Amino acid sequence: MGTDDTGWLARRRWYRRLLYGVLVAGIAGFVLAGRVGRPLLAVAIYWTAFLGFLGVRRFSPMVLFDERDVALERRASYDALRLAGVALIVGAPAAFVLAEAGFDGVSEAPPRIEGVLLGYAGLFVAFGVAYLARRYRP
Amino acid sequence: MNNELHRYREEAGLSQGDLAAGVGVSRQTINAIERERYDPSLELAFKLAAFFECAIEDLFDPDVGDVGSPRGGS
Repeated sequence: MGTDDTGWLARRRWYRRLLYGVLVAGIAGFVLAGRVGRPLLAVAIYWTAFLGFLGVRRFSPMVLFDERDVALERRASYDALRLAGVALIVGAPAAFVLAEAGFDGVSEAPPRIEGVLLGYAGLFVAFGVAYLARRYRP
Repeated sequence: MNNELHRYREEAGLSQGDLAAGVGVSRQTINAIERERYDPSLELAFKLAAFFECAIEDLFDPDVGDVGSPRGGS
């Protein structure tokens, strides 16, 4: 019983900071390069950082996320999906009615709103595909 | 789920970090289990029981009440 491996948690914390640090640096580099008019460099920095993020996650010598992290992520995903569902259920008919009937000069929902609703619909299609793939995978 | 993790850990003279390192999870996970805000997986529950060399039911009480048995016993 017991352990003297107190450095284990510190190393894990270091790898997690490296993981997120690479990502934050990539996004910051993307924004900065974009602002100085170097869009290709911005994209290159972004993708390099993202590949670095995946590399750290894949090749770090320890598990960076434990089962509670996974459970929290699953719960948060479920909550986010429910919110998107409510927005879609309420918003889609409203946008449809606006487009069909029109009210006082408003003939359709703003393109941005339609884009959001379309994005949510795509999200649920992706969810359905992922669910079926999980359910029927061999 | 009720549990005795805090008591077992204190009696062993371990910090949450020590226990976390021993069973391969984060300190926050141990803290969440002790505060009964997170129920561990069966795998982690068995790891904790093995770590403290006790039975799993000594550490965790699922508090499911009297559910009976499939054969009609209690």
